Amino acid sequence: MAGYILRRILAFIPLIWAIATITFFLMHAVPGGPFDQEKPLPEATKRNLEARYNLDGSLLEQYGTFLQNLVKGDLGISFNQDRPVTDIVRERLPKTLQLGLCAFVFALVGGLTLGVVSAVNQNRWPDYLGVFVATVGAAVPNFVVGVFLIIFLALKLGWFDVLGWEFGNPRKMVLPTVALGLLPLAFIARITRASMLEVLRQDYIRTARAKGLQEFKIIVRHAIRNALIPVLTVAGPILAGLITGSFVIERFFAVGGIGTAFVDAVMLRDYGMIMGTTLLYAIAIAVVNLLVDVAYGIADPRIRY
Amino acid sequence: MKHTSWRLLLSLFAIAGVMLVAVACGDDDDDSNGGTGTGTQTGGSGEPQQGGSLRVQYVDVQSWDPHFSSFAQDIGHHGFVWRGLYKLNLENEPVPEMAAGEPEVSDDGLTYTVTLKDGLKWSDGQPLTAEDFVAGIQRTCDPDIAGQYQYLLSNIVGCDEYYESNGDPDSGVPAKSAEEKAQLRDAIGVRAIDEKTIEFQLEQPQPTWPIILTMWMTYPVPRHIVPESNSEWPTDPTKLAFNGPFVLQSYTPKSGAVFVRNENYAGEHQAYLDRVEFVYIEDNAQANNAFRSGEIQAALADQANLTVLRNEMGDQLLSYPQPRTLGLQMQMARPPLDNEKVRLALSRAIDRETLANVVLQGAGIPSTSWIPPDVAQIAEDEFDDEVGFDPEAARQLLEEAGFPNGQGFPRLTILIRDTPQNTALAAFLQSEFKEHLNIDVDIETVDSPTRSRRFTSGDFELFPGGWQQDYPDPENWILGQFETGGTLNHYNCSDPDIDRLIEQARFNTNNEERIDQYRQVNELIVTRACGVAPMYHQANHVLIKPNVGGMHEFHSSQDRVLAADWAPEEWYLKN
Repeated sequence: MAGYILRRILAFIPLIWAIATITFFLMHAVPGGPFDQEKPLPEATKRNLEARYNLDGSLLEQYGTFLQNLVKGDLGISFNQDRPVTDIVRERLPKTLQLGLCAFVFALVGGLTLGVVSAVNQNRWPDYLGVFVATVGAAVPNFVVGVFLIIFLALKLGWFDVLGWEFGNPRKMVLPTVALGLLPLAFIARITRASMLEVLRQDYIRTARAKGLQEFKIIVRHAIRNALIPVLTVAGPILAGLITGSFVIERFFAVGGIGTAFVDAVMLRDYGMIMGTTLLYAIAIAVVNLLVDVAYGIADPRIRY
Repeated sequence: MKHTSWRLLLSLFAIAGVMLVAVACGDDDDDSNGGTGTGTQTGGSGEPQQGGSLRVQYVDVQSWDPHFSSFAQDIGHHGFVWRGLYKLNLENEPVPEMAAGEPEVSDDGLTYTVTLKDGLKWSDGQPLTAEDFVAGIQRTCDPDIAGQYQYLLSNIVGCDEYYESNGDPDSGVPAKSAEEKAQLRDAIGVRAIDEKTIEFQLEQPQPTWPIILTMWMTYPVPRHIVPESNSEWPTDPTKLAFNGPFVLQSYTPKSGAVFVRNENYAGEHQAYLDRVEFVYIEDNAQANNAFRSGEIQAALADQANLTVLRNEMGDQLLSYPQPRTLGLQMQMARPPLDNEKVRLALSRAIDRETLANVVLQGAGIPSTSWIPPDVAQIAEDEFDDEVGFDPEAARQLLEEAGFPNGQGFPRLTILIRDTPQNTALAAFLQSEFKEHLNIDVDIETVDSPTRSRRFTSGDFELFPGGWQQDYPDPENWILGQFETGGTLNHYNCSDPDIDRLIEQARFNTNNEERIDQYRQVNELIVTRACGVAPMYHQANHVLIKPNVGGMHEFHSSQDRVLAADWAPEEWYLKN
């Protein structure tokens, strides 16, 4: 297992290099640059700006400089905010991480509960309710959900604030968490339900029942743990997706996280910021996938690396 | 047993559900007014009392360096914490701010001498001297800073030479050495005669020079924190020193900023408010929700929903014109747009009233003038008879141009940015041209940088675009944009009459005559549709809580983002 983990970590290096290179050339292939703003600039200003941000020189020269800096951990400067990218990432990542983790916990706990309850009460009303919630969560876009939540819970009832994110302040935390977590919740609920149904049909469950074990103990001690494997599979990418930030929800609730930064950077051709956030995502997804694979190995004794 | 307990739960859920629906569909609560404050009575004579805190929507800053930046929201931030030698008042006239009085002008109009007020101090107590202002000018002219408004200081002796001292690799002009650059910097026509006196040397006499001295690129530099003209501006802006009505207490990018009153501010009077908090909200619809719930006391109205807002809270919605004109810009280098009759036909086929009032829900004021009303006393309907909406005349013009009933007219493309208003605008133009001229136009939608790149390289045919004023003088609307070869003249307007008038007006020291010459240029541009057919002047729409004072009284064409944000020292809380 240790050797496996080490090999996977070493594989990050060529991965990052490949992603950085592809992103670099793609960025420069798109028309429009960071200094093409609404108000046209005089030539002398454009020249000075390009010199200031190391955008002069041929593309290969720029690529060389970029690689040299990357090795030193310097992601460059964001033109948009005139600051090092690493500063911006460090400031905004925590909020996205917090929101993502909260949404993940919400989705996991809610989805598991809903899925288990549905499966155990198959074809009775809790099942129908659970499937209904799951379908709504999967079908309705999260900003539509967000609008409804805001209208009813924030504006009419005044229970929550309309925008902002502050960890530890439930008035600001609940709405974005629910809006962001509803889709993964639906997803996890359906998978849990399907998986539980299959597990409950297994022979060893029948044996446990025959031996007179209480239904509750059967479900909690035996069925759920075996039903978790497929859930683990999807939990990884879900976590990665939530952590990298939902642009829509972040913008909608004015959270000030990394998701908005990324999309803004693309719109404004802020090369430094685009590269920084893309590499961040790549590393996050790679790490999470590794964790999921390792968790697999622990959860399922049949899997050996 | 199991079944009865389920039934009980079910009935409880049902009751709860009904209650929730009843509450949700009940009447609106009135929105809270918010804004904490020590009691502020306006008393008998209406002088606002000091105190209070305000929370408003704003747009996040890109750069805290006033010598570098060009964005309206940045300039808005800078104006809270820094001020220049002069400031424009409500009538757009320069009045002393850090200066003690009017500047002394030499007879040839090339030398301006300004004396500072006594005892000026930065917010941290350090003395604010003439050298700090000199450093500000040098920083804007510095090539390593790449100040985006440097071109407005072009008339200062030596500023251009210093700005271009890094050379141009494309034309083979080499960069200057460090010693040469230092010499060029010292040769810039600005110096401190003594601690309190600054002298400016201009290349040409410029009657609008005092207006330039109110602008952000001339703000002083706190040299005890930023020693050299090309030193790094601190990435943490709270580490800087300030001379404006407020001090920056904290700044969290993409989140918000907090300003508190600057006790060392030497302007006309101290700021009334103790504290102003910015909340950065990109989505105006969301900002309007936060306004409804009382979380913020001022917000930009979501222009896609103006009708709804007017109905719901029309008494809290403030709408006023802005010095920003939108027109249909036409690439005159591409036939048939080089034919004046074709351009005029297009102009006369646009129903500006419907466009502004219906399609854009009253977001702007229909107009046929390029220069807006209060800049040079030109009425918005000044040229309606000559180039305004008249489908008959439009058809006639197109026929005279050789395309009777649109026959043989090529398919042109309208290039727009991807926003709801632009999409509606382009669709409207498309239908107008079809209906009145029987010609087909295509719509091409791109994102903002691509659109800008296409514009600056001249690669477009029809381009809804326009101009936002930098400073309140007609020359700002003309120079660079309409003379042959102008740096911003990407639509290739080239008219000898216009060129001649611009040459005369540019350095004309007789103000009346100068402004009149620009009026004539405006008329020629419009009646010959040289590069642009004006459509409307944009307006600002701001939601303001009833207990907020100062915004209604001081909103003007100088607003950057919010009403009266050019003079936040005038904001106060009522009741």
